[in-house]
Amino acid sequence: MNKRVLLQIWSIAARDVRILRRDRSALIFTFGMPIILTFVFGSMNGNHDAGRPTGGFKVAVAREDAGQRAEQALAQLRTAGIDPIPVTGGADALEKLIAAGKYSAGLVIPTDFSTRFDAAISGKSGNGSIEMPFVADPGDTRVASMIKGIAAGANERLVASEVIRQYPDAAIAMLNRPKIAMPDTEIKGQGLTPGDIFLPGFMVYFVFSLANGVAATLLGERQEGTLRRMLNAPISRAQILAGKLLARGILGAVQTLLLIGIGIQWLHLSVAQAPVGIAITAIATIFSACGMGLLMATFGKTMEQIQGMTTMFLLLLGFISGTLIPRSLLPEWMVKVSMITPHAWALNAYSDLIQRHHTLLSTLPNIGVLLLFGCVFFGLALARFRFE
Amino acid sequence: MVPTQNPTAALITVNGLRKNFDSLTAVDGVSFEIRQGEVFGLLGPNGAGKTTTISMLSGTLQPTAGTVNMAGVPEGPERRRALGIVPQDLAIYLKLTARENLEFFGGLYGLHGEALKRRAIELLEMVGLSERADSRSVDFSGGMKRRLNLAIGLMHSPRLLLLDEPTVGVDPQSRNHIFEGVKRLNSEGLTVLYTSHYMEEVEALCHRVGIMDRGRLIACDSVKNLIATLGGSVVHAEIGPLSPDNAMQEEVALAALQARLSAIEHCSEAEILPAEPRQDIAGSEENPHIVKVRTDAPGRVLPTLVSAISAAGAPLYSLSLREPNLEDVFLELTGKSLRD
Ligand SMILES: Nc1ncnc2c1ncn2[C@@H]1O[C@H](COP(=O)(O)OP(=O)(O)OP(=O)(O)O)[C@@H](O)[C@H]1O
Ligand SMILES: [Mg+2]
Repeated sequence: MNKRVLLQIWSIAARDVRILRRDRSALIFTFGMPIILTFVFGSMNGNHDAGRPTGGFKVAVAREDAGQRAEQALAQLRTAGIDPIPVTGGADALEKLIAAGKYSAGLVIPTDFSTRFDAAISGKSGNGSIEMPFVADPGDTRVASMIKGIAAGANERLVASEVIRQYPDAAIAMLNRPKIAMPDTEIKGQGLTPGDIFLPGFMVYFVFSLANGVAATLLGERQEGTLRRMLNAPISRAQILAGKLLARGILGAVQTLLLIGIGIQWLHLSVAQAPVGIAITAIATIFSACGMGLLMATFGKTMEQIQGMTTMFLLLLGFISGTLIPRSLLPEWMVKVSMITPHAWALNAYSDLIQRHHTLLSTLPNIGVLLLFGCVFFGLALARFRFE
Repeated sequence: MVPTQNPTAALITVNGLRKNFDSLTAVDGVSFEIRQGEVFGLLGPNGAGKTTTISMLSGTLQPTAGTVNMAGVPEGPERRRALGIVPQDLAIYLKLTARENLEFFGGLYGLHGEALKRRAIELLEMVGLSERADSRSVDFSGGMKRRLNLAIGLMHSPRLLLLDEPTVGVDPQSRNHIFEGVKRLNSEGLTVLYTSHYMEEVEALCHRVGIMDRGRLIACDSVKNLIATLGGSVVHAEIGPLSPDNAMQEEVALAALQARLSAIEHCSEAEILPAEPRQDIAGSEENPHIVKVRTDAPGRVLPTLVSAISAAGAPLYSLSLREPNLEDVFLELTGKSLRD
């Protein structure tokens, strides 16, 4: 008896999968688009192999001083990981370039840099200052302030090395000076790969776009009369829905597996630390997406009616939930708003497991909320869905 | 040819069935029975409530009032297994092949393995789709889709087949396939409810017919009995004027002819109606008449009629005899034609 119920569900699912396999546009949307977008975004972050940017920060430098000290300063900057790009036309030209967004930051080495430097070290100018003006792009202040820190360090070293050379006694004192150590404490998840950064959002966004298909297939069958035909058979409504949702669930699982596969192969996605957790998160995400699709199907009479609406709705959810734009870029209030989307909780779970290397146990609350979303969607949808 | 069976035991009994859609009463207190082994026809114009009635029979639509009883089969899964439904609107998966459609729906009814495959082949054969069994049905002609639609309803070998206008918009070849298929199935013992607004089909196929109009069942009997209620064939005779030059004499002569006609034996109804004015041989206008007589024994009535007309001194222009059909029954009952 039970076996038969399951077999009937399976035959509905298998039929839908078969129909889907013959639906070229559905296949492109379900598999082609995510794959292409994953590659595009993955490769935007530099090269796939190292998984992090190389070559240092590009910083515009207007060098107005031909002296030796300017040369040494540039050498120190390079050592510190800055890639100075010479700019002609002086400080004014540099400011224009930065304002135009060409570089995140720029440095000016003024004409009297070497002179002032030597004067300061030899004590001739008392405690006279040496200047290297810094120009930051107001649109990219975070990167700019990082660059400023690095440049400041490089300048420190430039001064220190010259002081040591000129005042060996002081040098001994310098070498023996106490130090404040800042040992690196390794935080798990450091060194994110492009896969780690982009795939959680993509896996969530694309799985939720399944909802569109769920709604379409249900309304389509009702319109075509095949739903009624199934209702005429000795099977229950729950079986029909279960079968249809199972088919979409399989589709979602294949899609997720495909993205993970691409992530591992080309984008250095880290999954080894939590394979079970990722699998459970994927299943919960698919469940909740199917529930959402079923609920959306209750808001229109025909497939055409809701198709446009749901596409826009899913895109909107994608943006506010942080799956399409990193949540760190969203304003505070939007981050709060994003928590009303199931996407956000799925993203939390994936990020915990993939980026922060949390355990499954510690991200269970996220998965729980996600499942709760799914259950509420299903409950509402079943109460509202018209089979006839 | 109407099959000669005499079914008696009721398989389905419908009692006081009613369905309201908001303010519209689609089915209005309909009662009838479908007997074991018969083909029962439901005839009616568009919007009569045929499909709504079928939906309530099959359990897909909840009646507002009334009951549907099936002998020995309680409502629920068992009833659904006993019924085969062929919906008026195609209900097939266009992306699946004919065979896949059949096997899918057969599977829902619990068929599987070899039995499922064999049954699908059998039905493909029956509806003449064997050669296209593995083509996707999206590529089928309208008639082929209809045949597949029919076959799906038969996959699980139901006891009662509910056919909702299975031949609408179908080419003659497909129509024949469907028609012959239903006949054969019925001769093998399948009970059929056949819905149509083609009265020729219903006349040729159905043992008994229910006529529906505006949600009501206005007649229900065998085709023969229904037609018999009309009182037989209709004879039309077109005659010239009796006394062309004198209107008063014409009146008198007509009254005399009417009296003679009414006296003819086996004649249930006789009337004289004005016909379209026409030109006589000389080119002047004249006012002919139509004599309309209804009879159940046209062979005997015709000679008497002709001699009565000539005795009245009227020229006989034409004479026609028409056998009545269900169309006339419908016209008689509702005052309108079945097809408008
Ligand atoms: N779901 C529904 N909601 C509202 N009105 C309906 C519904 N189904 C049918 N009707 C109305 O009920 C009446 C009977 O419709 P029904 O489909 O039963 O007629 P029918 O005899 O099958 O006609 P046809 O020969 O055109 O198929 C029509 O006026 C129709 O508009
Ligand atoms: Mg109908």
